[in-house]
Amino acid sequence: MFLILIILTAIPSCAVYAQSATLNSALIAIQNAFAQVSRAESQGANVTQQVSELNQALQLVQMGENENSTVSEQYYSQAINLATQVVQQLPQATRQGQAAAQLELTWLGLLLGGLAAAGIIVYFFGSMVFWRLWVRTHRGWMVRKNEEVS
Amino acid sequence: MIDDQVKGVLLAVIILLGLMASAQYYYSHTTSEPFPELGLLGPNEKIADYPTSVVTGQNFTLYLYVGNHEGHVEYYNVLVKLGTNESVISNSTGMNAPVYRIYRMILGNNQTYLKPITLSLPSPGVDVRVVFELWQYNVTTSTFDYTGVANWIYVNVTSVA
Repeated sequence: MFLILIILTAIPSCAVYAQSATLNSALIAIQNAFAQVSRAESQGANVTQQVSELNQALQLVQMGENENSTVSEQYYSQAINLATQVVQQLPQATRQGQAAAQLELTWLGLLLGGLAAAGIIVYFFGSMVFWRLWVRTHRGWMVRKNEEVS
Repeated sequence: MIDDQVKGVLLAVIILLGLMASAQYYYSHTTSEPFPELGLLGPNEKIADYPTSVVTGQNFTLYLYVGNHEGHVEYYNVLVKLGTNESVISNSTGMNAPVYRIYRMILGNNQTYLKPITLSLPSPGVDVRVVFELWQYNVTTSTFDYTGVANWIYVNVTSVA
């Protein structure tokens, strides 16, 4: 009788422990995934999709918190799967982000280089181009002698 | 004489364009004054009509608003705590009270969160302070740190007759 009583009192606490462990493991998986997302972003990755998926994982955790233990464990394991999926996507997102950042920097370099070249051209050939253009636009002009004022 | 002036103007325009392009690149990669936002809106999604009196266990709706302007992705927790008029709220440590609810969200830079939340208060009291604290995840220490940002409303909670 005493043994049965011990088992009966132990069951609910075990259930609570198992549920909280799953909640904790889901939250830890999300935290780890977030840390890696944060690192990938600082390396230039566009993490919009990963942020959206981690928010879905957090929503699953919240749904799990409102359910009984069996259903909540399913939600928690789905959240863990999503977090794992996010981590797996990060190397590619980082590579793409780094390539995009490199491209942006290259465009800026080209633009500044082009402007510097334009400056040199203006400085050395500006006068010549200006007067050629002036002559071209004033091609039809005629020089007339001033009438003498009597 | 005139061509020198034209040359000067063109060179000035070129320098200006170069500075604008460089500034655009610089400012798109930096945040001058990083800050998070926390807001609490009434049931009509406005800064008004907050509940002032509820019955224990009765649901009421508020809108929770969080904004990230930190320059990078952030993981926030909004902790809901129940206090009184005497409860100390500071911008260095969270209020000394048990956590009643947690709302979790991850926001990219300049991203905002606005969602309805339903609360019900468990026990009666006069001027019960419902406090919302914003905490953010610290990647270095793997813990949530209090941002020093909090909002609260006062509610009179009466027991069911």
